[in-house]
Amino acid sequence: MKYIKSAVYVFIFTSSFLLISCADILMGDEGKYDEEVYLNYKTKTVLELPFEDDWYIVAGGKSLEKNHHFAPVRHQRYALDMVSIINRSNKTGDGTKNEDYYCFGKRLNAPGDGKIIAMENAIEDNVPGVKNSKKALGNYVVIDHLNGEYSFMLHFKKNSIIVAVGDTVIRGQQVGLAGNSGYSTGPHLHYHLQTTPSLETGVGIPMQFITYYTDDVFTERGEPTTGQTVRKK
Amino acid sequence: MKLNRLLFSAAILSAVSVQSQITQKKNQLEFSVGNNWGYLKNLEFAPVAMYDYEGLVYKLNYTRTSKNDNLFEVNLDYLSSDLKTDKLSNLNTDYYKGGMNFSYLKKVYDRDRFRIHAGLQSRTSLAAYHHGDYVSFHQEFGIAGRFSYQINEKQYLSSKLTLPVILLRVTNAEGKFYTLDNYQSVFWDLEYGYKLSNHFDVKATYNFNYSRLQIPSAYRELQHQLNLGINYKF
Repeated sequence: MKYIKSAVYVFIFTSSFLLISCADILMGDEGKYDEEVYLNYKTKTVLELPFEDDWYIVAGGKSLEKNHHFAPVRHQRYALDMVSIINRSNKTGDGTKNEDYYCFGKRLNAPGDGKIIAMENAIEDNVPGVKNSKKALGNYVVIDHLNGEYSFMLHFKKNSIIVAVGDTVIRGQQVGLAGNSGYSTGPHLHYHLQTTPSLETGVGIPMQFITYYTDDVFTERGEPTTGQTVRKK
Repeated sequence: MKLNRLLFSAAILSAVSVQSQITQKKNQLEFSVGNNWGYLKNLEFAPVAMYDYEGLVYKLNYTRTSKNDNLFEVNLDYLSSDLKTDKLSNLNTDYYKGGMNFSYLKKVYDRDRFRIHAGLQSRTSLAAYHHGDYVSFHQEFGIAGRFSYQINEKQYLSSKLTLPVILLRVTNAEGKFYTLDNYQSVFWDLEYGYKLSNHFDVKATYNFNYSRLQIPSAYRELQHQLNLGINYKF
C-alpha cells in the first residue's frame, strides 16, 4: 500500500510540474507574425490616398477603441472607413437618400500600382441605414500589388467600376465611384491591405500612405486614424 | 497576487497533512475559491501571440450520487481577470469568463479503494473581452472519466479527465462547429478531500484546462487553477 501511495504522489507532482512548465510549447507560435506586423510593418507598395479633396476617417487605427475593424476579423484589422466631407459635414438634406451624401458617386482611384484580380459590380446600393448582410463586400475591387500585398476597396456604387479582372492599374488611376453597397449603412469607402487575396487566410497589415495632409498638416508618410481629415497632396 | 499564491500554496500544503474519506451521502454541494494562472491567444480579438492573466476563480459544484453509485455533476465557475502582454501593452484589457458543466458518469470499476466512473460531459462557457466589445461563446460535448482513490478513512483523492470532441464556437465574427480535426482540448482536475465531519469536507483542487483551435485566426487557452473549497453533504 505504501508503494501505491508513493507512486500516486510522485505521479501528481511530476504531472503538475510538467504541465506548469510547458506553457510556451502548449501556446504555440501562431500570432508572432501578427505581433511583428503590428509593431514594425512597413508597407511595401507605394500607396496614396485613393480619392481627391477632403475625406474624414470614420474608423482607422491600431486598437479597438479607435477602430471597430480591429476585432474580430483578422484580415481587416487595420481597415479604414472614410467619407467625403465638405465644410466638416458629410451630407446635405436629411440623409435618407444616398444622393444626400457627398461621398456617393465620388471618384475612387487605385491607391497603388497592381493588377485587378477580383471584382463585383452588380450589387444594388442600399437605402441609408439598411445593410446587405448577404453580400457583405458589396461592389468591390481587389488589387494584387505583386509584392505580397493586396488592396481591398469595398462598397462601390452599382455599375460604377470601370476596370476588369486582369487589368493592370497604376497609382491614381480611376477604378470606380464610391457607393453604398454591401454591409454598409451609408455611402463610404472601406479600404484595407492584407497578405493574401483570401478572406480566410489573409492577415491584415497597416497601410502607410505617402504625401497627404492630415488636418491641413503635411504628412510625408503616415497611417490615418479615426477623427482625422485627410487630403491627397 | 504573489500573496495569493503564497496563501493558497500554504493552505493546500497544510491540508495535505491531515486525514478523510469518500462521503456516503447522496448530495454534495461545494463552494470553492481559487487562483487562476492563465495564458490566452485569440487572433480574432488581438494580434497577440500570448496574453498572460491571473485572477480569482469562484466555483460552485453540485454532485448527486445515485443508488448505483453513478454520478450526476453540475459545476459553475466564474473568473475575472485582466489580459496582459508586455510586448503590446497598449492592447492589455479586461477578461471575464463564466462556465457551466453538466456530466453524467456511470460507475464502471469498484475494487478495494479504487473507483472509476465514465460518461459524458457538456460544457457551456461565455467569455467577454474589452468591456464586452468582443464575446466568445463555446459549447463543448465530450467524454469524461472520474478516478477516485480512498487513501484512508478520512482522506481521498479524486481526479476527473474530460476530453471534448465537438465544439460549437460563436464569436462576433462567426459561428461554427469544430471536431477533433481542428479542436483539441483537455480538462483535468485533481482533488484532495479531507473529512471534517459527516456533513462537511474540505477540498483542495488543481485544475488544468487546455484548448487549442487550429484555424487561421488561432485560439489557444491554458489555465492552471488552485482552489480551496468546503463541501457540504446532505
